[in-house]
Amino acid sequence: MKQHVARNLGLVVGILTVVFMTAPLVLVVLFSFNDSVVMTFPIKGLTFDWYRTLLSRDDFWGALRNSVIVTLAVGAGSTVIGTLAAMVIVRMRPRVSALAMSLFGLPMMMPPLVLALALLTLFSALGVRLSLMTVVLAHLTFTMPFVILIVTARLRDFDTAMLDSARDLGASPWTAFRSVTFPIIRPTLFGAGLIAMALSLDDFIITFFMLGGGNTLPTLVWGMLRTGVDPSINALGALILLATLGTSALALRITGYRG
Amino acid sequence: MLQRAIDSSPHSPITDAVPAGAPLVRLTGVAKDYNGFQAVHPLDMTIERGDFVSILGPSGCGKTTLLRMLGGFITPSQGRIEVDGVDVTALPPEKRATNMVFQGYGLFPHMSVRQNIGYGLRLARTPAREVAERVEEMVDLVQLGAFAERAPTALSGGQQQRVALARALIMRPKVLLLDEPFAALDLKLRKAMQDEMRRLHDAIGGTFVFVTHDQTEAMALANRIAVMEGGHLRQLGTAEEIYLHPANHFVSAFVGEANFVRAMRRNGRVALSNGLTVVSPGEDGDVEIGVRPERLMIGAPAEGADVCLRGSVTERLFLGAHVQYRVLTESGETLVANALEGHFSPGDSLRIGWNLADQWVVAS
Amino acid sequence: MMGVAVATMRRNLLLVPAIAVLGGLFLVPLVWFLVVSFYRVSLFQLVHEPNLANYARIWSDYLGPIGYTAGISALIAVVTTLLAFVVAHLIWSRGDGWGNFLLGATLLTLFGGYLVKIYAWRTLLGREGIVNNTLVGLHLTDNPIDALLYSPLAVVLVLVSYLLPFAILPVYGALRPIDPTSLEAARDLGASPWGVLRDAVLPRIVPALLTAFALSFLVSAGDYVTPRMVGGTRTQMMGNFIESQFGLRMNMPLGAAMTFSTLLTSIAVIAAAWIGMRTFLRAK
Repeated sequence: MKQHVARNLGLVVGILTVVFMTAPLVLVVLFSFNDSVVMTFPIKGLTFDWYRTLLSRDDFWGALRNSVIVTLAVGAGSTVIGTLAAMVIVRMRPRVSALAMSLFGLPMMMPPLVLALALLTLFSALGVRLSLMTVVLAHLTFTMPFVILIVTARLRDFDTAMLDSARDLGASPWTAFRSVTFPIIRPTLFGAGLIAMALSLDDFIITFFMLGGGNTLPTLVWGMLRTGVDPSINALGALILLATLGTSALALRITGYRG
Repeated sequence: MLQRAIDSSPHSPITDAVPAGAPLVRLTGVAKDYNGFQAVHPLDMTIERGDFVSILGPSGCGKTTLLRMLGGFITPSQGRIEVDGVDVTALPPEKRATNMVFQGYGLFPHMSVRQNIGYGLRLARTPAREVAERVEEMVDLVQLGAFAERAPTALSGGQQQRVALARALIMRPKVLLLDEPFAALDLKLRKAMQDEMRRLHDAIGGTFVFVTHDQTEAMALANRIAVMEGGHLRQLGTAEEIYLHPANHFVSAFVGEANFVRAMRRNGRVALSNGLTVVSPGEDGDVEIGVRPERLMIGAPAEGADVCLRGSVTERLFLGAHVQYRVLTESGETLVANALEGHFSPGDSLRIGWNLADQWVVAS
Repeated sequence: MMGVAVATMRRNLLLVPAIAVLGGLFLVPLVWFLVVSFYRVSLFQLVHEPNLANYARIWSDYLGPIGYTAGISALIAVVTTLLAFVVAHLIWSRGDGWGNFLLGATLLTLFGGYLVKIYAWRTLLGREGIVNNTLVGLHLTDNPIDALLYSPLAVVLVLVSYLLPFAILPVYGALRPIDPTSLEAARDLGASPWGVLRDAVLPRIVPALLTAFALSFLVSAGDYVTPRMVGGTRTQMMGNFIESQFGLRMNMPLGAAMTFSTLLTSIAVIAAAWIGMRTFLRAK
C-alpha cells in the first residue's frame, strides 16, 4: 500500500515536471494562433495574422537566410571534422581514447557566454572582422563534441571483421572506407549532423557576440523581445520550434538514439 | 574444505526446523493471469522440509512465474502461498524468508564480492563482527577466498554464480530459490556446479527449489520434479516416477525419449496389436502406449517379450554408448530402439518387443 | 613495421582539423582570455602590463554578486538534478506507455528555442499572465502577484524548466544499463524499495548526477539573458556584470577576470558537489 503511494507520487511529480518543462512550448504554439494581443485564456478565436505579420517583415527574411547559411555550414563542417576525429579516436588505446574524448568534450561543459567572450577577445586582438564566418567557427567548437560522441559510439559497435574481409578481398584502406564503412555509418553521420544543426540553430548567446551585423533567427527574437509584447514572437517561436523539432526528430529517428 | 566450513557454521537451517508434519511450503490454488493471459493455471503443491524440488518445463511454461511468486516478485492473481504455516501471499520479497539465485545473477557491480555477499546481513542490521565472520564462512564455502576483494565483473561466469549462491545462502533462507542458475555456463562447468550444488544441499540441508528446462539437470539434482507445461502442473514426483510412469503424453515426450503406439481403450482394457489386452482403468477412447527406446528389445530377445511385433530396420546409427535403430513395424508405426549390440543393417527384418512392466498408457 | 608506423601516422592526420578547432577556437582563446584578465584598458585600448588589479577589484567589489550567483545557481542545479532523477527514473522504470511518453516529451523540449522559452515564461508569469489569472480566478489571491515575474524566483523557475531535458538525458543514459535483476536481488535480500534506490541505483549513477548538476550549475552561473529578461533589476547575476563589460563599459580585462573568478567558484562548487555525492551516495 505504502509502496503504491510512493510509486504514484513519483509518477505525479514526474508528470508535473514534464508539464512544467513543456508548458512554455505548448503555449507558444497555442498563442501563435490566438486572435488577440493579450495572451491569456480562454482563447477567443484563431488567426494566422501573427504569421502574416512576421512573414511581411524584411528583417525576418534576412535573418532566415543567415540562419540557413550558418546552420548548414555548421552541420556540414562539424560532421566532417568530428567524423574524421572519431575514426582516429576509436583506434586509440582505451586510456588515450578516454583522455581524447574528455578533452574534445570540454567545450560542451563551458557556458556559452565564456566561449563567446573568449573568442570575441581573441578575434578583436587579431583584428578579425565579425561575420557569419565567425559565427560558424564559434559554433563548430560546441557542436563538434556531440558529433564525435555519437560517431565514436557507432564506430565502436562496428564489426571490424567487415573491414578485414574487405581488405582481404583486395580493397585499399580508402576503398574499404568508401565502400564498406561509409555506407554503413551514413545514417549515423546524417543524424549527428542534424543534431549539430539543431544545436546551432538554437544558440543565441554565442551568435549574438560573434555576429558582426544583421540578424539570425535567435537574434531577431532577441530584438523583438526587447521591444515589448509582440505576439508575432509566438509565430516565430513556433516556426523555430518546428524547424529544430523537425531536424532533431529526423536525427533521432535516423540514429536510433535513446538517451 | 567444504565440509569444514559447513560444520563450523553455528546452526544450519535444517536443525532450525520447527514442528514436523506440516509441509514447509504449501501452494493452494495459486494462479497468475496477465490481462487475460494465463501464465499459471490454479495449482496446488507442497514442498517438504529438506526437499530439493526441481520445476521442469520448456520456456514459457510458467515455471519462472511460479518461482517468482514464491519469492514475492509476482503477486498471484488468486490462491494462497504459505511458508512454515504463515500466509506470505501478500508479502513483498524483502519480508519473506526465501532467497533467490537469479538467472543472470543480478550481482551488484559497484560492490566487491565480500560486500555483495554481506549485503543482506548488513540490511538486517547484523553486528559487523558477525557479518564479517559469516561472509568469511561463505567465501570459504564457495571457494572464492582469492577473489573476495574483486568486483564481480572481474570474475568468470562460474565464479559469479558462486557469489550469487553465497549471497543468498548467507541469509539462511527457509527456501532457497534458484532460477536456471547454470543456464549461462558451458556444459563442463554446468556438470561441476551441479555436483557442487548436490554436495551443498547434502551438507547444509535446507530446502531448495530449482527452475530448469534441462531434464538431465533436474534428474541429477532434485529428489522431486514438478513438470510444467502451458501454465499447468503436469506431474509432480520423483525422477523414477516421472521417467518410468509419466502421467500424460507431454511428460512422456518431454522427459527423455519415448515411442508411442496408438491403441483403443474399451471398458477399462487396452487392446495391443498382437491381440493381447491389458487392464488400464480410464475413459474409453484413443490412447497411446509409451515405451522408452532402451526398454525395447530387438531380435531374439524380443521373441520372449510380453508384446512382440514384426518390423524392418530403416536406419542404424552408431552412437558410441549404444546403437540406435529405427524400425518400421508391420502395422506402420516407426519405433526407435536403443540396443547395445549392432549386427542389424537397414533392410533387415526382425522382431521387436517389450514387457508390460516397461510400458505406460496415456490418453492421446 | 615501418609501413604500419607510416599508416598510423597518416591516420592520425585525420585528427588535425578537430585539433585545430579545439585548439584554435577553444583552448587558445581561453588562454588568451586568461592573459587578458591580467591586463587593463586605457582609452579603449588594451595595455599589456600584467597586474592583479582586476582580481583585487573583484575581491573588494564583487564577492557578494559571485556568492549570490553561486547560491542561486546551486539552488537551480540541485532542483534540476533532483527532478531530472525523478523523471529519468520514471522513464527507465515504467515499461508502460508513460515511460515512452515522458522520454518523447523530454526529447521534444531539448531544442525548443532558448529565447522563445523565456518569452513564454514572461507571458506565463506576468501581471496579466496565465498563472496570475488562474490564481485570481480561483480566489487564491485578491490581486495579481507582481513578484512572480522580475524576481529571483522567476529566474529559478525559467532556468530549471530550460535545463531539465539536458539533465534528464545523461541520468537516463546512466540508468539504462543497470541490470534490473540486481534490483530484485536487493529486494530479495531485504531491501525496501527505498533501500534499493539507496544501495543499488544511486551509487551507480553518481557520474551522471554530477554531469547533470555541473551542466545546470555552469549554464546558470554563465547566463545573463534569463536574469535580464525575467529577473528584474534586483537580480543581478555575474553573467550580467560580465556581459556589461563587453557592451557599454568596454572593459574586457575586468570582464575576463570576472569570468575566471566565476569559473573558479563554479569548479569549487562542483568539486564540493562531487565530494558530497561520493560521500552520501557510495555503496555501504
